[in-house]
Amino acid sequence: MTEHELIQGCVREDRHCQQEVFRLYAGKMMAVCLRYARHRMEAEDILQDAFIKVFDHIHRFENKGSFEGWIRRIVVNTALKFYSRKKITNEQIGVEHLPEVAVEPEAYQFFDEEELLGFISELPDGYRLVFNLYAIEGYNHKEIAEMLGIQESTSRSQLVKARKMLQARVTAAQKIAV
Amino acid sequence: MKNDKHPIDDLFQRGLNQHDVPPPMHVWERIEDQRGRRHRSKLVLMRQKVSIISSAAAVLLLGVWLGWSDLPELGSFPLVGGDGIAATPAGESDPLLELPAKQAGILPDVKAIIQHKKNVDAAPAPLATAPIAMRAETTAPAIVVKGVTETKTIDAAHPQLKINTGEPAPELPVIAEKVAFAPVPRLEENRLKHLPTSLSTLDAAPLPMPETGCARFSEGRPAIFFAVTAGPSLLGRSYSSKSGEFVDYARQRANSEKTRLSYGANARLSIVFPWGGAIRSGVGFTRFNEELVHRISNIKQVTITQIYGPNNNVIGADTLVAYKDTVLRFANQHQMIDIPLQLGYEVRYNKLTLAANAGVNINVVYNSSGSYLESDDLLPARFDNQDPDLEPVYKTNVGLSWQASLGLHYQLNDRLDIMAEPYLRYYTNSFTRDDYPLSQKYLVGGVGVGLRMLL
Repeated sequence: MTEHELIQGCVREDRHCQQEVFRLYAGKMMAVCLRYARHRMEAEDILQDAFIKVFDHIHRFENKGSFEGWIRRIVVNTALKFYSRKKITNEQIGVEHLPEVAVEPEAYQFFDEEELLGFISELPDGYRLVFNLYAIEGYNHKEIAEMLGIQESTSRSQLVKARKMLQARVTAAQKIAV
Repeated sequence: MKNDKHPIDDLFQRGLNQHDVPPPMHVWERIEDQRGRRHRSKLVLMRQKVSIISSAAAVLLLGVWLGWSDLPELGSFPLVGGDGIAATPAGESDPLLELPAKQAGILPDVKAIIQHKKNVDAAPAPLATAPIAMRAETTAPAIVVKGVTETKTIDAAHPQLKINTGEPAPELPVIAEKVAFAPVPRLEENRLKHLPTSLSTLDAAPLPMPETGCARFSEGRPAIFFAVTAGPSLLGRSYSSKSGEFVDYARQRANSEKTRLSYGANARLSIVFPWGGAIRSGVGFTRFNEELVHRISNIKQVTITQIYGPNNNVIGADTLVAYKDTVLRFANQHQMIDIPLQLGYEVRYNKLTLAANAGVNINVVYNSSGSYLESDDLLPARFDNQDPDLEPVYKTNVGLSWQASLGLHYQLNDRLDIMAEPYLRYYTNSFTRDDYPLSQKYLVGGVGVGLRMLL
């Protein structure tokens, strides 16, 4: 069954087509959710909400771009809503004292995906969202500010703080490994 | 999009950009459940709305039908065979004639007529009669009235009423085949002044209604009122934990969320029967206002004072921590649209009408939004029962609420009353969802002030 046929099946609320779409894309999207979530259960909640939206709004997909990209945008937006609207208070984490430490090039060899995800999941919500959007999804600060409803300067400062925290953790982990 | 690559960004992008994990198929089952449940709940809600609206309409229609059918008994129709008064050749009432007269509410007291006829036959006084007005309204056979020879007008208010002063005549066939009957004053009150047998419907003057002490109504039929009220209300709210571990959380929520002045508005139709009973229904809007007050304490200054001993050596330290409090305030609101179904009783004293009402409000729309303290970290989080992306806290329908009220009406003119109606309303169901650890219920006291119009 082609992707187009699957989409048409989903529009008709065909359960088998919906399940096939989920089976095809849930793995990649779960990886995205894991990056935005604090832990696996939260990631599953986000994935669940996102795929419900996908099936609810699949008739709006216009076949103009990648279907996977369309699903991914829904997943990311669902994750952003999950956090940016949930917590109201600003996060105040004392990271200013952390020194800038350069990451050694060999660091790539030390960490697998699970470990990297572990580092990210330890970040406060705001830092994690901004870092994901900037460093991995590739959005700029203006776009991030619009998506999260914050100032560009806030996005920049959160990114800087996120990097500092990640650097500290990566460096500590490197030392333990060495 | 950016071009620069910070080493940390690069590390994580290369490590995670193409990350893939096995699809968690158990999530698929949850998705199917949720979509199926939501579809079912939509259907249930739609059915509920249809049934509620149709029930309200049925109650109103029933009330109207009951009220308008509250007319004189069939047995009072004059065309029953008797001495000297022959309704039909067979001496029986004609259903074709009864029906329009009944609908017009103009059935005379046949017993009084018969009794009067007997008295007239025995007495020497001239017989009071009425000429037969010719109106093509009903079909009936000829009516025979004895004792009519000549006539003269005796009642200025009823110029069509004439009295016979001549000698009794044998029989006067009524030439009209179509007649309608007007109400006849009781003989006890109108001592044999005249004996109307038939009158034109248009010519029949309305009879004065006796003082009943009850609500306004006309000609024995129920009155229909339309009332619009609005006013403030005060909230009494209770939180209770559904299990022992959330008792403190219930206390935290009760302490952090303050109730504020709220309000409500109603548009209501009332059917008030002549005996004072009333059925009321319409639509009501209610808004509860609350405020979450959250205090955040940040360390402002830490002062450590060393304590010296007799030998000037440090034997201890006092630590003084100064906090700076920041108070955050968030407005919360619960908005409802309800259909009230109420029964009442009204008593009238001159221009004042007192009413007592009781019934239910059936919730059809419920929106809630604002902020609350989450159970896990006691930090403020948003709630919105229409936003599926937020933590579900409140239901989408709060079900039934019971209401009792007292109405005080002052009649401004024939059709318009000014009214004030204090009420108490209790919500039997919790506003929070079944899976939320706390139950949240309300007792509301308020007053609605407005106008009531007789339709």
